[in-house]
Amino acid sequence: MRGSTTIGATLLGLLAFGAPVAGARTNAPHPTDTMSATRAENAGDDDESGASLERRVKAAFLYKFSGYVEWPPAIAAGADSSIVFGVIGDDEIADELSRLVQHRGDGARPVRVVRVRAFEPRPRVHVLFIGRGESDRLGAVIRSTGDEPILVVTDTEGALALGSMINFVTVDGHVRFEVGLGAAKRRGLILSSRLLAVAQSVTRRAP
Amino acid sequence: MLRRVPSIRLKMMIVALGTCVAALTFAGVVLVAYDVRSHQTSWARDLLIQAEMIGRASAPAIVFGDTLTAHQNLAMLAIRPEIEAGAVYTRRGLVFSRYARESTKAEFPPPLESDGYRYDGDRLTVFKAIEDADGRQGTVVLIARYDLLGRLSHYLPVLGFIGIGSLLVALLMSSALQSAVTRPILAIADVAREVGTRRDFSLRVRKETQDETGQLVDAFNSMLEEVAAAQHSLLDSNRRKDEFLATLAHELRNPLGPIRNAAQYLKLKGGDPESVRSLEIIERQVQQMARLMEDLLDISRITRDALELRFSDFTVRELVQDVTEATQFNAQDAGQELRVTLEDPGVLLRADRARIVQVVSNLVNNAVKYTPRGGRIDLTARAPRNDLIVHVADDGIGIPRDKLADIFEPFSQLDRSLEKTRGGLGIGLALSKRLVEMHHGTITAESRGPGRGSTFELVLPVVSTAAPRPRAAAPPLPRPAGRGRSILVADDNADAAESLATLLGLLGHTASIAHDGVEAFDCLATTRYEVAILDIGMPRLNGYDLARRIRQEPWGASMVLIALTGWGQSEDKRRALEAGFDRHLTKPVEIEQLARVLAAVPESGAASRGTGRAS
Repeated sequence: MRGSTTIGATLLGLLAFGAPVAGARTNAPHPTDTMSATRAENAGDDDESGASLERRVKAAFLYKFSGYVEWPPAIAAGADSSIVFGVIGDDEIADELSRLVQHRGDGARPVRVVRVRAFEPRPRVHVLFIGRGESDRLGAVIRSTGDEPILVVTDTEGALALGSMINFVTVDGHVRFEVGLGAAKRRGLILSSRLLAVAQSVTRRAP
Repeated sequence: MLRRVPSIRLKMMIVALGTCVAALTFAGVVLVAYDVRSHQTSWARDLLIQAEMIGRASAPAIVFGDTLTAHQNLAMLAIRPEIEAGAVYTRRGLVFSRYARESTKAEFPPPLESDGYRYDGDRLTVFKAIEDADGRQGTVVLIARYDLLGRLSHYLPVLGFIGIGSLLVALLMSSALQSAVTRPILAIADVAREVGTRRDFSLRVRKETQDETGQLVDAFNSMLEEVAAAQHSLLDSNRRKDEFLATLAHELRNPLGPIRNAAQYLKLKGGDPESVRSLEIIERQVQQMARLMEDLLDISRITRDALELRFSDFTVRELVQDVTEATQFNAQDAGQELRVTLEDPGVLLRADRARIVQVVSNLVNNAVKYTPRGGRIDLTARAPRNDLIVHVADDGIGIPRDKLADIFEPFSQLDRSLEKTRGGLGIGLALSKRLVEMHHGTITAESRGPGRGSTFELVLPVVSTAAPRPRAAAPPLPRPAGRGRSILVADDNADAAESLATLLGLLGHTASIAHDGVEAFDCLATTRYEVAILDIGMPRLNGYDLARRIRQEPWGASMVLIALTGWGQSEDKRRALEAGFDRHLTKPVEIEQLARVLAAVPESGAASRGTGRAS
C-alpha cells in the first residue's frame, strides 16, 4: 500500500484538452508523452452532453469503483442481482451516471441508479454518492446510513474524517481520489488493493 | 613382425564412427530444432502470461487514468532482460504507458484486436487484452528479442560434449568389439603373408569361432593343405625327374667312352678306306651323342642349381677360334659356308669360357641344322664398351613370328614333323638361355619370317675390366710321349678298361688292367707303376678309398693318380683331390686330353700335385 506521495497521475489532463500536465508526484519522474492518449478515455463514449468534463470523469470513476468493492454476502447481489447506485445532492452526476450505464454494452452486470434525498426513505443501495450539495451536513447524512454495508463516496474536502470511504480530490487539475479504509472495514466492505494502488492516499484509521 | 594398422580395422572403425556421427548429427539437428520450436512456443506463452499479469495489474490504472502506476507496472519488466520494450494501450489503441530498455529503440506496433504473438525476425511481439468486468479496457504489448544464438551457444557445448563422448564410447566399443570380426581375418591375412614370403605351406590359422569367419579359416586351412600336398608331390616328381634325367644321361654316357676308344683304336690300327670311314662315322656319332648327354646333364644341373660357372680370362679371338673349331666341321659337312667377322679380337673377356663357347657353338650348330645345303651362316662378334655382342645369322628356314617367344622353352621344337629330319632334344636353346642368364646376359631371336632366315643375338656383359693381355700363345699341342709310361687302368667295366688300355698302348705307354679296387691295389703293390688311372665306382674298394690307401704306402706317395669317372661335378672333383688324386677326368675322356695329362707327368715319375688344371 502506498503513501499519499506515490499516487499515480490522473487522467484529468483531459480537462485541459491536451495541454501538457505536469507530474503530480514528487518522487517519480512522470512520463509526459503518454498523457494525451488518455484524453476522454473514461469520461463516457463520445458523449457530447452538457455535463462538465469533471462531472463525467467523476461519474465514470464512481461507476468503476463498484468493480473493486466486495460487499458482505447478504447484500452482495440484490434481488435482481444488480448493483444499485444512490446519488444525493448532485443531479448532474446522477444524470451522467445513468447515461453512462445505459451506454454500456451487453453482458455488463445490471446496474441501477437512484436519486435519493437525505434523511428520506430510500431503497437499499450498494454505492451512495453524496455530492457537494450536501457538504454542509455531510457528517449527518453519512451517519444516517448507520452501519449499512454501503460504499460511501463523497466530493468534499475532509470527508474521510466524517466516515466517507472514497473522496474525490483534485490534484494539479486532475481528478484523483482518497480512500478511507477503516470506514469501509467497519461496514464490512472489502476494497481491492488494486484500487488502493491507484488512490491518491489511503487512510487506515476509522474516524 | 611389425604390425601395421590393418586396413580392415580402419574401415570398421570408420563404419562405426561414421554411423555414430550420422546418428548424432541427425539427432542433434532434430533436437535443436525441436527445442528451438518448443522453446519459442513456451517462451511466447510465458510472455503472454507476463503480459496478462501486467494487464491485470494495470487495469485499475487505465480505468482511473493512473499512468504512474502503469509505468511502475511496466518498469517491473526490467527483471526480464530479454524483454526490450512494453507498452499499455488504451481501449482506443493509444499509448497509455510505455517502457523501453535503455539503448533500445523499440517501435511499438498498433495493438492487434486479438491476443497472441508473432515473430518478426528475432523479435517476438506479444499482445494481451486488458479486461475488467465491463470488457476490454486496453492492450498490453511486449516486445522481446529472441536470442536464438544465445540459446544455441548454451546448447552447442552440450551437444559437442555429448557428441565427443559418444564418439569416444563408439570408438572404444568398436575397437573392443571389432576384434571379434577382424581377428580371424587378420590371422588369415598374417598367415597368408607368411606363406607368401616364406613359401611355407605347413602354416595354419587357428580357428576361434564357428561363424562365417570360422568357416573361412577352415576353407583357408584346407586350401593350404591342398597346396602343400600339390606342391610336395610336384616337387617330389620334379626331383625324381631330375634325378632320373641325371642318372639316365650318366648311364647312357658311360658306354660312349669304350665305344669311342674302340673306334679310335681301330682307326689308329689302320685298315681299308671303307672301314676308316665307318669308324669316323662311329666316332662322330658318339661325339654327337656325348654332346647331347652333356646338354641333358647341364639342363638337369641347372634345374637343380647344381651348375657352377668357372670364370677365366680369354679374348674374343680365342672364343671365336673355339667356336669355329667345334662347328667348322659340321658346317662343311652340311655344305654350308661359315663366315666369321671379328671386330674386336683383342678384347679380354671374363666368363666361363667353356660355357660361352658352348652357347655360341650351339647357335651355330642350330643354324647349320636349320639351313638347307649350300646356305650361308654369318658369325659376328664384337665388344663395344662392356658387352660382348655375338650375332649368328643364317638364311635358313626361319622362325614364324608367333613362335619366337617359345623357342627358348625346354623341349620345344619348331615343328614336330621336322624332328625326324633335324633331330635333337629341343633343349639346346633352353640351355643356352639359362647359361646366358647365369652370365647376366640376354639372348634374343629374330626372323623375317619362314624361309627367310633367322638371326640370334647374344649380349653378354662379360668384357673384363682388366687390361688386355698380349695375345696368348697357341695352346700347346699334345706332346708326343718321350717315352712310354707304365700305367695301371682300374675299372669294373671290362670294356672300358680294355679299350682305354689299348689306346694307351697305341700312344706308346705300357698299360695293365685291374677290375676292382682290391685287385688294383695288389697290382700296384707288387708292380711298380708310374701312373694309375682309377675308376671311382668299383666293387670291393672304391676309387677314393683306394687312392687313400695308395697314398699311405711308401711306394704310392709319388705315384700319379688320375680319377676317371662319370661324375663331373665340382663336388666330385674336390672329393677326388681330397682323397689324394692328382687329376680328375670326366668320362668319356678325349684321347688328346689324356695324352696331354700323361705328357705333363715328369720324367722322374711324380707329378707336382694339385697344380694342373683339372677338367
